[in-house]
Amino acid sequence: DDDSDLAQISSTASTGVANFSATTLVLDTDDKEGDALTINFNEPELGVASGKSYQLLFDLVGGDFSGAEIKSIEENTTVTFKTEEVNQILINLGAEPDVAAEIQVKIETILSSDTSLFSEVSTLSITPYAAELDLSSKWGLAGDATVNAWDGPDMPFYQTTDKSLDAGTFVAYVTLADGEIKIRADNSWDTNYGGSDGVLEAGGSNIAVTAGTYKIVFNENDLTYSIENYSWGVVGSATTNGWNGPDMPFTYNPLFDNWVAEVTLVDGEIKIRKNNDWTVNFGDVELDGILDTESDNNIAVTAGDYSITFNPVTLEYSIK
Amino acid sequence: ESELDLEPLTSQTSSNTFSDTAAYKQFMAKIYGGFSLRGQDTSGDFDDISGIDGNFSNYLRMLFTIQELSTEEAIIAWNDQTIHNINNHVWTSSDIFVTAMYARIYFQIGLANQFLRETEESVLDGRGNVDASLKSEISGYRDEVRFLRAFSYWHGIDMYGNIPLVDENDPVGAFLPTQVSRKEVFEFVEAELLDIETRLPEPRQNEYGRADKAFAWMLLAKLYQNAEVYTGTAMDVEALSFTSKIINSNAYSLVPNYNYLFLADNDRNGAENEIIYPILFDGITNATAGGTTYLVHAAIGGTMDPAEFGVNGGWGGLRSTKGLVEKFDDISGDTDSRAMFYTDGQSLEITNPFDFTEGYAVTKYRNVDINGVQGSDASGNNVDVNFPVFRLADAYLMYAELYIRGAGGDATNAVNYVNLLRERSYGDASGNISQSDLTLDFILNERSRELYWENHRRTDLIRFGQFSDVGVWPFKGGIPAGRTSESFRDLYPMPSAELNANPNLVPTPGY
Amino acid sequence: SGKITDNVTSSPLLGVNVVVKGTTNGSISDFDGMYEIRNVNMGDILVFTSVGFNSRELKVTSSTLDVEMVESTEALEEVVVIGYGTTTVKDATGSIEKVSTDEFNSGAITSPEQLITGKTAGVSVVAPGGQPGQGATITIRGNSSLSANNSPLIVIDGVPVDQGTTGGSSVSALNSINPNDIESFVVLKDASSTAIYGSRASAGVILITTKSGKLNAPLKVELNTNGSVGTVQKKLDVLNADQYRNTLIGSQNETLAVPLLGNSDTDWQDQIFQEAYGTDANLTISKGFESSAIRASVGYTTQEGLVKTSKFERTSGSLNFRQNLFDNDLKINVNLNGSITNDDFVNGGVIGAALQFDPTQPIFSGNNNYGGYYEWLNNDGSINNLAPRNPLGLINQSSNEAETKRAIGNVKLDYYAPFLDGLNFNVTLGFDYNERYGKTNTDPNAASAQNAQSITGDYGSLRRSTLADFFVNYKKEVESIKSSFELTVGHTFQKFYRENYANNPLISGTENSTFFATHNAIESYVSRLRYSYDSKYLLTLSYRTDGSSRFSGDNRWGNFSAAAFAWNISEENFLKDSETISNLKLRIGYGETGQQEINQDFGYLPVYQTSTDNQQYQLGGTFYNTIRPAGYDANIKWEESKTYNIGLDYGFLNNRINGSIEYYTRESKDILNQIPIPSGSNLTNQLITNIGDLENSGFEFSINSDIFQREDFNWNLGFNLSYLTNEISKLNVVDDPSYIGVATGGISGGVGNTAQIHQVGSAQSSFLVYQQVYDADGKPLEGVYVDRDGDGVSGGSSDTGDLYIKENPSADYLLGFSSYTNYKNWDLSFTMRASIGNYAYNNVASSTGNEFGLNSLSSNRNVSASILDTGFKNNQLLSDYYIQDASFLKMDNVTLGYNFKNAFKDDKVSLRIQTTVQNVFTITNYDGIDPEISGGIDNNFYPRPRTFLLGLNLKF
Ligand SMILES: [Ca+2]
Ligand SMILES: [Ca+2]
Repeated sequence: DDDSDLAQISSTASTGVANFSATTLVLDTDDKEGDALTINFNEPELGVASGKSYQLLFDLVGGDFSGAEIKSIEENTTVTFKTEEVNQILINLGAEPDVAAEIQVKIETILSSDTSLFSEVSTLSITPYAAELDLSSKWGLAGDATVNAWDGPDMPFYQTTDKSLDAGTFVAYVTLADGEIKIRADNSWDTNYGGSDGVLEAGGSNIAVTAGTYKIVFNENDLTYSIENYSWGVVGSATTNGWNGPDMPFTYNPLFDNWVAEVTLVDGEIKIRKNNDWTVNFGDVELDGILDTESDNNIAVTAGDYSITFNPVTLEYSIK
Repeated sequence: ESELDLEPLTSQTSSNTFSDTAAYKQFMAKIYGGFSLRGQDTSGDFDDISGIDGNFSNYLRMLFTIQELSTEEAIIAWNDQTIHNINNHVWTSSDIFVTAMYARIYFQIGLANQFLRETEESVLDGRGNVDASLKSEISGYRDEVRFLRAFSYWHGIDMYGNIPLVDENDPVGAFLPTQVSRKEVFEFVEAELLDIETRLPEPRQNEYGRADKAFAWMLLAKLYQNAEVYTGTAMDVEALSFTSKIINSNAYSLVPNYNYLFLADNDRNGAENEIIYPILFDGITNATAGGTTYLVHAAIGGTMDPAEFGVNGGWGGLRSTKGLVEKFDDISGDTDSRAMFYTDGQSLEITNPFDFTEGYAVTKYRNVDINGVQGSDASGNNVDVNFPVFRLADAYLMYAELYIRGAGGDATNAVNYVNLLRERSYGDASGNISQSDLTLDFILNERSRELYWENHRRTDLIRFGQFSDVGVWPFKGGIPAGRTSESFRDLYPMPSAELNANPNLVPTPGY
Repeated sequence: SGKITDNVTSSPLLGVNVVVKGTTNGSISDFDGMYEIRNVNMGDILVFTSVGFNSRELKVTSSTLDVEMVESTEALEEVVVIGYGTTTVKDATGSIEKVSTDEFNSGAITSPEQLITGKTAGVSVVAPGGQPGQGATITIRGNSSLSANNSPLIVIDGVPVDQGTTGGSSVSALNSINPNDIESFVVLKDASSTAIYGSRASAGVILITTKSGKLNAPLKVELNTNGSVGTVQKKLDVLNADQYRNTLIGSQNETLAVPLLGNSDTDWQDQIFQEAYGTDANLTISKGFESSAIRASVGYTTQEGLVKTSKFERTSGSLNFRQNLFDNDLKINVNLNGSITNDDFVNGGVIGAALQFDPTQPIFSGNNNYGGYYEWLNNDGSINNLAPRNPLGLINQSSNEAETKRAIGNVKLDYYAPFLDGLNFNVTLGFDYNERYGKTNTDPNAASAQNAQSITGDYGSLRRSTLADFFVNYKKEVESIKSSFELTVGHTFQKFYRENYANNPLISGTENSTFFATHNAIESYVSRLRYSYDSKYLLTLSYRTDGSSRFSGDNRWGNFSAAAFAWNISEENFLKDSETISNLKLRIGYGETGQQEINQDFGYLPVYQTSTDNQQYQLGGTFYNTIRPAGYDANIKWEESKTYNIGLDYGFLNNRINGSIEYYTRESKDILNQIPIPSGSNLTNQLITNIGDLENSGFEFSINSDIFQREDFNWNLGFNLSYLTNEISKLNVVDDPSYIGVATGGISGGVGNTAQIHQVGSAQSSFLVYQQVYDADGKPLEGVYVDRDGDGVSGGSSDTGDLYIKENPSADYLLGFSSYTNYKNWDLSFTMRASIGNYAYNNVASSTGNEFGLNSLSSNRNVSASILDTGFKNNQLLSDYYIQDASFLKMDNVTLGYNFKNAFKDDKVSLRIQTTVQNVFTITNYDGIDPEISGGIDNNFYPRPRTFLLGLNLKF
């Protein structure tokens, strides 16, 4: 009845489309501190006075912003990002270094913790450079089964980008000798765990291991651990040992949380497989840069020196 | 006209109250109980202070709100009035909790002043029923009451800065107290404590729960240790001197199990040897939703089993932020038994402060004895846990801190005192530190590990300059990641209700 | 000699008294209207009087004098009780309204105040809900105080009754009076009328007169009985099982709540509500003798409540006896009313539980635990303490029964001094005794008994007061100056005693009781002078000195004076013979009144309070009941009000159309309010002290009209309208414009939250909220509020600058409309009422209507269906979305009756049958269950029933 008195937001209230200092951008790895991108937009005309703040949402074109990178800019309507900030956004979105990525951007006007307005989506083309991750942790493996035995420095546990793992989970990819290990913090025995059957306790007994290459997963909250045989390799007619292996090994690269193999190949085909057997193996049928397990998915290569990288979680790979 | 001169029927006038000489101790019990009780009954009609729910207004619960919810150690899930503004560092001068804490402080001061008026020698003589032995006993009560008044004035200057100073020489009724500087109140409290300290009973020689010399020493040490905050002039040497008195009295010793300090039988399980000043609670005689009843119930929620805590249900309110959790390398409690967290079904990160399952729960206070037997209230409502206001462990850490700050003392002792605490909680020497580890940063973190949820945190952070414009923890500043707040928030504001009632008062700068 | 006729019909009048003025020489007219009187001289004045006609005085100018008598508008000659005396409507100088038996509302009425709902302008009667026997909030011309009593002083047969409720539950102080025994209500509205009650009159006065026997009357027996059934008008709008399931999906608590869903479809409100049956029977016997009369009645009422097991039962008796002695010089009048009331209350949480209990759960669990009721359990099978309890279990597994014994009585002695004509002594001795005893009990197997400290208890209260009045009244007419005087002086003393106690022994066996007793007394000297000149100019002056034990010696006595002037314009020559204007009277009045019902008896004294056993402190292992000095204000004193009133009474066409128009303003100062006091200056942080000023003003209009007056067909319509405003003009010691005011209006949804404020410049209890922002489609945007203070931030509880006052719960306009029609043996009457401009805070919707409400503390909970409109995730308690216009139009009752006039051979016997519907309909835009919410916060409302009643009245 008295709807005329309602403080109603104008149906057209919007920040409009943002202005970008550039729509195509190649980020310069040597100018990390330099300004790369300035974005400004208009304050939305709500028609009512209400407190508001803004954030920018970035996603890859084709994404639905559910995994967007979010940058809060509070009450400002102009923001300038440094090169490394833009680069980090792209890397976090999973954009491939040195490849132009199509990025979509929208502006969120936050009216309350539960209520926002969104602008139209703009598209940018940005080429990121390879950025390093810092996955280091205070946790490490010590023991006579490790390279540096009981005194360390310890073989490191890394944080993981695998979102399926619980918070507080750390991973070590190690090759061990026969012997024993413990998990400890800061190369010191102040905090150390041992145990058995996947359960740890402070100051617990040493964990016996046999020689092998392993993935060790440790959860500092639950005090649990797991050890599995774990290695990746390149196999195939293009490799030295053909389709029967032993495979050309990948090594773990904590800077990008991926696996890298520097290999010399001949003309032929390759696949990537786990633990030198065919239980887990990948090829790429569409050659879309994402590994798959469909049949007839061998990847054809020509002779040359290659750097092969892949991520066993996202199954993204590259052969360069 | 005489028909209109009526006397109260169930409440009593001053003269007929003190015709029974037992009233003096009952009155003193009220002032001690002012930190523990909600009022004269549970109906809400006889609460000690008005304008706030009687369960909120409990002194100890207010202290927790003011001293802990404003720090990384605790966050609350409820939607009670402005409670999240404390978490978020956006409280205002009209904040109900800021106002009620202030009211609680002056309620205690008012009671103490009235006690001193009612027990002046001439007044006692005038009543004609106070013999010499009772008079000398009452004289001791007066010293204790003055300690309790000093204790509340300390809270007053710690939280609010410049505040009115009233004593037993002021009238009761319509006058407007004048505000004095924080330093003046500091000096008043100091002088009071130095005066009564000489007469109070030796440590642990008074009845359990009543003030002795060590109460006064500890409060003096606290006052001196924070003197730079209160007056601009550090008095670390004096602080160390009184800290040492406590330690060297040898009246106190650490209870072997850290968790015993927070159990229903902490008046008899050995914790009584460590606790210097306990605020007493009892499941049968003290019905309140404040005090330790609050600290036990409100910290239970999610998948926690209330029975393990000796109560009939959780209230799903209090838990920690990761700012506290991250102070422990191992939060399981297996390494450091002081890490008392419950993580099952709880997430470390908090995005919604109203969701109890976000943020690790804290299991420190439990209404069970060392054998797991529930406290005295069979219904599981009210708890028996006494609250440790001051305890030896705090004195040890104060000593170490003062040593680092150059107040004197002895390096070996300083390291030893810290290691005594760490050996207790690690079970062996594996957690021991060396002198090189003894830094101010370490002490601040160690104080949190040892004393979290014991109402010290805000004062500690301010002394270390990390409460407002330095220091970030979840939801400080009202955002999940946290951000710094303005430095004026090192003081809570003079409540607007006070400013309106008393034109002599000046608003706290910044508010 | 001459003939006396009716001026309208010209028919002869029988039985008219004719007296030579100033003598006892008189006569009576005969069947033909003829009279004859001897010994009359020219110039003598003959006085003609007859019941039902205006008296006339005519000078004898010839031997034949024919007279036309004008039928009196009964209204004008009707005797009206006023404080410490009576007057006629015609001679009244103040704003007084009388409502008599034949105007009362009919229906299933358990509490007397419901008889006059909607009948008088400026008087609001709002029952807190539909629980039978619950007392209504009566306000006259709006609230005159903040924290002191706003209820009018109620005087029953001259005995002011205790204004408090009786404890245990808010039960009406009046409901122990059988409505059938009430003769009339007189409402004294303006201070010139009420000032005679001095310090208790600021909120107005209602004088209740009970029925009494009449002299020289035959034996009369009257039987009244009725039966009724009440039904639910409207249920709370909550989600049904399917809506609940659908709303859960996708909500923020989905993962917690979905596993807890049940498979049932239970409407919990259907489970707790019932058809409420009621019966009422009254038997009255009266007989009048030459110098004495007796009336006795007994009554029995039962009334079920809409919530199962709630019930009200009253057995009452009343006795009135009059005896005239010494040639009627001494009149003795004894009144005694007694009753025993039994209340079965339901657990106060039942309605809230029915709202909140998960509709997908069954009523019964299928096993015998906890009485077989489905309850929320912990994993180990124990009760989940913080979950809602099964509503049916709450009803059936606990009881709360109270018995109230009430007696009110008085003895009046009226002595007409034979030695001085017009001198009269009056003594009234009265008492009021009210004793209640209640018991609570919970089945030990009940879910609500688990973890409880106490499951049985009893409680009680006692309130008694005694009154002694002594008055002298002297009336004198001085014809030479056409004047009459009436002087009343007196002394009155009343004392009150109140106690409350409760025992709730702990399961552990420990005693757990509270006891509180208090008393107070009021002593007064009263004087009043009434002066009339030529029946045209009327002046009333009154002066009262009151002493109250509630204040210190320095403030104990207060003086309250009043003056009123009335001009009977229609008595002036230029109107005297007007056929059109039959009555016109202008009234101007001023009066001072006070309020001393401040909810504390010793607020001026320093007292110590001993703690109960569950608030002890231990020292050295011994537990002490503590003692605590209470804060006090030695200077506490009366609230004082000054009221100015101007009114015009009118009557047209022989008063067939009549009514009045009033305007008043009332300034109250030194209003008692609980405010923060300077810390350190007293023994507490807030004190009740004389601090505020308040202004009320309003306009009232009433009209009554006999539209048809025929032998077989009559139609009478009554309408009243009042416009009321109130504003707080001062609230604090320091005149600080930044002072926000005193929060009030506690709401549920988190502890301690409030939605109302007393603020200077606004009406009391105004709503203080955030201004909701809506999207373009008119849907509220969660958490988005207008940044009213322009600081760029909005919506947070820390941004109190954005709070604003939106409306208040008081109506701007109150309207009442009554109609009475009869045709031959049939009659039809109804009452309608409207309230305009009253707003309510829908706390049911605000506290539960959100996703967060769907599940918490390991239990699912139903929520207000407003979630379907708002989609809110968390509660937005202070959104003005929940402040809703609760204006309404209600038809309170409609009655159809049939009188069997010749059904019996003996025409002394009469029989009447009637049927009534109460709460016939409500027209409102308000979303809650009922727009009529006393105080403005709508939560846990006990619904008012729609009642169908069949009644029978037999007289012989
Ligand atoms: Ca604002
Ligand atoms: Ca209004």
